[in-house]
Amino acid sequence: MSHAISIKNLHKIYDKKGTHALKDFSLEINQGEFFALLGPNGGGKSTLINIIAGPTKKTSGTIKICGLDIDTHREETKSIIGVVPQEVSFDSFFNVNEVLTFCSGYYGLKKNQLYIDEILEKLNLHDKKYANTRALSGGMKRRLLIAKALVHKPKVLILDEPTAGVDVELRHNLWTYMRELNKEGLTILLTTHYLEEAESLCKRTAIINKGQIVALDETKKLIKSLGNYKEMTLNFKDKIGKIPAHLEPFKAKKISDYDISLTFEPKDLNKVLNALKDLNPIDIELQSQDLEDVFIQLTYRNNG
Amino acid sequence: MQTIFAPVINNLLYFAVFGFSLHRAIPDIQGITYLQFMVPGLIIMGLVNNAYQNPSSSIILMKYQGLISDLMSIPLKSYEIFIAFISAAVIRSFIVGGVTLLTALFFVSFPYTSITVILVASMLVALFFSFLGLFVGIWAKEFDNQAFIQTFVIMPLTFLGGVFYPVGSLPGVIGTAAKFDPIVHMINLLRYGFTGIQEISIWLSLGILGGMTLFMGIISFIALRRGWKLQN
Repeated sequence: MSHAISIKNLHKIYDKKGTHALKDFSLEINQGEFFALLGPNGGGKSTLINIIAGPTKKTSGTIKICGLDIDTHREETKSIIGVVPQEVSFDSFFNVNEVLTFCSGYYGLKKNQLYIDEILEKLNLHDKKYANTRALSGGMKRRLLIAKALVHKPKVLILDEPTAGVDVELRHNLWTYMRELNKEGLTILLTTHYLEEAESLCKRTAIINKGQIVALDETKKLIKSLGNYKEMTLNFKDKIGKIPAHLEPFKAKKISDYDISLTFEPKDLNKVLNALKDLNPIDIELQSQDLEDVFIQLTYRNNG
Repeated sequence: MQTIFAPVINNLLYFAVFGFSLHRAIPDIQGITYLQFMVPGLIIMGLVNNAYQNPSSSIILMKYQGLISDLMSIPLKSYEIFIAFISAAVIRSFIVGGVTLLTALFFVSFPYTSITVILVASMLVALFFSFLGLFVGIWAKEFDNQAFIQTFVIMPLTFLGGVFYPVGSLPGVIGTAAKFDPIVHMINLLRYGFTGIQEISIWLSLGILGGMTLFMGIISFIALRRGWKLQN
C-alpha cells in the first residue's frame, strides 16, 4: 500500500529573499496514521502544507499523495486532500450552508446537503447553518474551516494549527472529533504549537526546525529520547533553609522559599520515598518529561 | 441592481445632454443622427467597463480576503477556472450592453446593417476586456493598481475612441495616432453593424480586434496556469 503522504528531497527557496524555507525535506506518512508536525514559528510547517495544498510552488523535490504525484496528477491529488489552513478567511457574502455547498461544487458534488448537515451537526454548527460567516465567533469560524476541509470526504486531512485561539472545551471537542475521524481510517497530518495535542493524539511526531527534520519517531519514544526521568516538586509549610544533604543525589534544587524539586529515574522512586520520610512535605507534584522538553532542546536551544 | 441600473442612469444623462440639449447644434454625421452615431459608442463603454471590472475586482477581492489560497487548492483545471472568470465577465458585460441598447431604443431607432457584425464585435470586445481584466487582477496587488489601468488607460482610450465624435474629424497626427487606439476599431465595428457607416474598413477592424483578443487571451491564460503572482 502506498504512503498517504510521501515527500522526498523537498526544497523551497523564496526567490525574493533567498530564504531557504525547506531544505532537502523528506517524510513519509502511512495511510490511517495520525501524525504531528511540530516546529517553531518560521520552521517551515506552513510552507510544507501550502506546497502540498497548492498555494505555494516547490523549488524541487517530489510529493506524492496516496501514490499520485502532485505535479502530474494535480487535480486528483487536490481532490483527495482536505486542508484546514491556519488563517481564518471566508467569502463574507455567503452563509455557512452556502460556503459548504459551493465548496462541494468545486469537488464535483452536486447533491451533498445530507452530508453537509451531518458535518454541521458533528461540529455543532447546525444552529448557524444560515448565518453569514461574518456573524460567527472565532471558534465557529475554525469549525467551519474544518467542515470545508471535510465536505468532499478526503482521504488525507491536513490541519495547520486548528486549535489556535480556541477555548479549552472546544479544543477537547475537536480532539474527540479528530480521533473519531482517524478511527474511521482518515489519515491526519497535524501541525500544532500545543505539544499536549501531539502527545495525546498522535502516534508519530516529527519536529521541524529551519526547514529540516530534527527529530522523527513514535511520540512516546521521542519523549523518552532525552532519557527517562521524573521531576518531583515538594512543598513545605515552613521556610526551607539549607537543602537536606540526603536529597543531593536526586539533583535537589530550591525553587522557592517553600519548594524543592528533585529529578530522578523511575527506578530510584523507592529511594526518593525513603529520603522523604522525615521531611513532611505538605504537597507533592510529580511530572514526567514531556514533548516540550524535547522540542525546546532540539529547536530553541539550537537556534541560539 | 447597481451593476445594471447605474449604466442606465449614465446613458440617460448622455441622451439628455447630447441627445436633446445639443442635438440641434450637432449636424447629422454621414446621414445618421447624432444619437444614432453615439449609441454604439455607449454600448461599447458598457461592454468595456463591465468586462474589465468583473474578473479584476473578483481576483483582487479574493487577494484581500485571503481566498486566493482556496482558488489554488481546489481541484479544478486551469482552463475551467479561466472559463468561469471569463464567462461571468462576458455575461455581465452583455447584460449591461443589452440594457444600454434597450434604454436607447426608447429614444432612437437603427437600420441594423449587420446583426452578425454587432454580435461578433460585441463578443470580441467583451472577451478582450475580460482577458485584460483577468490579467490585471492577477498582476495587481491592490485595487489602486486596477483603478490605475481603468483611469489612465481604458478611460482615455474610450473617450478618444470616437464615442462622441467621428475619429476622422481629428486633425493631422492626432487623427493618425487615433487609428492605433483599439477602441476606435471596436466602435467602428459596432457602429457599422447598427448604422452602416464605417470610418475604417471593418475587415481591418475585425482583424485587429481578433488578433488582440487572441493575444490577450493567451497571455491571461498562461498567467493563470502558471500561478503568476497567485502562488508563492
